[in-house]
Amino acid sequence: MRIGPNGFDGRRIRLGIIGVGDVAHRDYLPEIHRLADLAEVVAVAGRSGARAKATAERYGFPVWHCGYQALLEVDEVDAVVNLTPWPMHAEVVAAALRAGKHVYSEKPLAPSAAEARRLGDEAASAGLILASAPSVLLFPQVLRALQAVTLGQLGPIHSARAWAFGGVPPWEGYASDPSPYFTALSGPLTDLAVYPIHALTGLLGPVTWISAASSRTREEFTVGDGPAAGTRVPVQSDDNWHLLLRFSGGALASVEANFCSVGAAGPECQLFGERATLGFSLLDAAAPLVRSASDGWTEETVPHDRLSGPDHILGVRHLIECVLGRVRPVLTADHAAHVIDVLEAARRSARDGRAIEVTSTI
Amino acid sequence: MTTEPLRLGIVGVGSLALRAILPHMTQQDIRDRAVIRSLCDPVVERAGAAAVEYGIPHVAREVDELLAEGDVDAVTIASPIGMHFEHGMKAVEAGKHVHVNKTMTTTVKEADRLIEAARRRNVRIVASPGEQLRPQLTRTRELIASGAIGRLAWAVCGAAFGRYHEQEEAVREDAPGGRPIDPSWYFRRPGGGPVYDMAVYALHGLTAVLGPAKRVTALSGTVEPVREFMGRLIPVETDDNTIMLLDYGDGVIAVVHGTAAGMLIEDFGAGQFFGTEGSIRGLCLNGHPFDFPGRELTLHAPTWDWEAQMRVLPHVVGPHREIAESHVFEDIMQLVDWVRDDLPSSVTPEHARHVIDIIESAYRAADTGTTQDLSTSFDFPRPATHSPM
Repeated sequence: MRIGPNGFDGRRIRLGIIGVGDVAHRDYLPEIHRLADLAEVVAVAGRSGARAKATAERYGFPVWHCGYQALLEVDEVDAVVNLTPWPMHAEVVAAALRAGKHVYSEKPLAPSAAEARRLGDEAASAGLILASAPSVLLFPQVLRALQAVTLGQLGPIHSARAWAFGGVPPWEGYASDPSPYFTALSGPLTDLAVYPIHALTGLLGPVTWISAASSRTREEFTVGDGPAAGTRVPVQSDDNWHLLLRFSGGALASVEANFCSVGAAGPECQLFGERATLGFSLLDAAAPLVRSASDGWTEETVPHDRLSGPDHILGVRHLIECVLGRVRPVLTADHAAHVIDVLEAARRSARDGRAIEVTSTI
Repeated sequence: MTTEPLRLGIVGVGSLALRAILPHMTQQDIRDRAVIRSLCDPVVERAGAAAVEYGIPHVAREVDELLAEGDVDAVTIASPIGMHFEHGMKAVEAGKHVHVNKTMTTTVKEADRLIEAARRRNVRIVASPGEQLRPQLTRTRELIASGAIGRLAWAVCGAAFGRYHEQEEAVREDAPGGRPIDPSWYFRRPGGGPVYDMAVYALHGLTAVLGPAKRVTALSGTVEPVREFMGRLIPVETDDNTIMLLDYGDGVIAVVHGTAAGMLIEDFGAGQFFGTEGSIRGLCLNGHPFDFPGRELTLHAPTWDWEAQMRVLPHVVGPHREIAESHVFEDIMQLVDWVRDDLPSSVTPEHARHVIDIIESAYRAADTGTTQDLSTSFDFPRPATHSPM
């Protein structure tokens, strides 16, 4: 039997899932079977024991726990997938690292860049892998774009635009009160802008300067339909964000993130290179890439394992492959911390009406 | 009012004059309304060759010469953007009516002086691009005002174009008179760069729909320090890459791109508008084509098919639909109608000045890192119930 790194001599990685809310059921659990060659889920935990139990029964996980501490005490868990609500992320990650578990965490990793870096340092000194969502840089269409950029197929990239919006939460299928999306510390900057910023910084390098503008298009609203219909939601953070970014290589980009508009603005990421423009989705693995050519536009659909929508499970697979020593970590705490720096700079820039320098790198 | 055709001079016999202004303005159908009497260009052999080709009676090397001896009532200024102010002032001070191609001037101060001089000399100025003449944009404005997309939240528009000025071989390398048309001014100050040259259309369109903006911030820079034309290197002195955010107040923010690389995806060059209940992208409301007067004339072409979209302009009829850049012809005819028939045009220098304010302030915001208040405005009356056709 081959002896792998980190003591995994050929056996599968044992995963513990913490958090059984909207994102778990929407994006992760339906795809978890695709990890069967590398991993098995040995335990699941939720704040609600009943929900954890129902999840365990539905997906055939052998053990369920009420509360994450109980799961972290299980020796058989090698790695943890943290899908808790965002205010709990840092606490759960820190506890998991202390318990000696490798961690994949939903975004944002921590409320501040400093705390994200501290978590990264703790993981490194404990010899553990810490991977942070979003996994957008692992989406097949984004990898294809990265290849085009790296090979110079677009020429030098001058500018870009990327966006993330889709109406007002709760989105279709979301079962809970959407108020947490609209608290003073939340909003589309925290919740949505991370996707385009992760993608752009992965493609173009770290952000060096940012200029931003934001507004609040409403003070409150009442949820119209779905399970939370009738709930009055106060809007305590700006719901309309526009960021201008300068990257270390000199390229510029605009990023739009909001909770106030509907529709689409074309491919969610568009790169304007000296030789060609490339557009691709940051959300839907099934959407083709479009590229300008001398006689119009060409389309290319890349192989994708999830039928459609965002393929977040690739982030968990990435954690496992990092633990197995097969790949170099891409979804690093450092990268997550840089993105949080950018978000913090965006808030300051919009508030003060001036450009803000970002000094951290990836 | 006069029955004689307006006598026009063309200042600058470059690619625009050769590709658009001369072919349009020498068509039979407008001979009783306007006639080209003089061409002026420092490359006088090019002006001369074009004059022979189009039967123009007078050629000048200098603007002063055209104004003094060209026997003209008005001029269209098609020189490099950085020279528009000087040429415009000379024409106005000589008592000539002026059509200025985009962008009218490079600073608000110059625009103020030009507008003031025109008032003092009692001459008309029409400043391209007359995006507000397009029924597509009038309809977009009406749809937003009627609440068709709920409350407006943001908009995006702009321009991205690769090495187009360096690669216009047909018009530049084989220009009449034998000397190629040098594009290096597009990368020199003042007046070079993709914002004055290209994003200005998007800014005119945006302000035709939303009116004057309040504040602007921007990031700007140069990605490619050198360009090349016919084997000769052109040092790039201007920013070749700019993105700005316009604050309209009431929570409305607009994003404007101007980059000399790539090409636009879809139709955000024509402007996209996003509201709480829907969106207008190109010529579609929530994904469905909306109607506007003359839509059938565009042959339902996509918004990026510029020439097809311009077929709906009021003067663009008959042969003009087949000649390049018919929007320039339309703007010149706006001046002709204003001077000959006393029909005031909505394509005003005040609107152009506001766009110039946006551009100048955006560059200042990028230089200083501080959001800039805009100091100018322009008349923005409520949309007419019926679009003039």
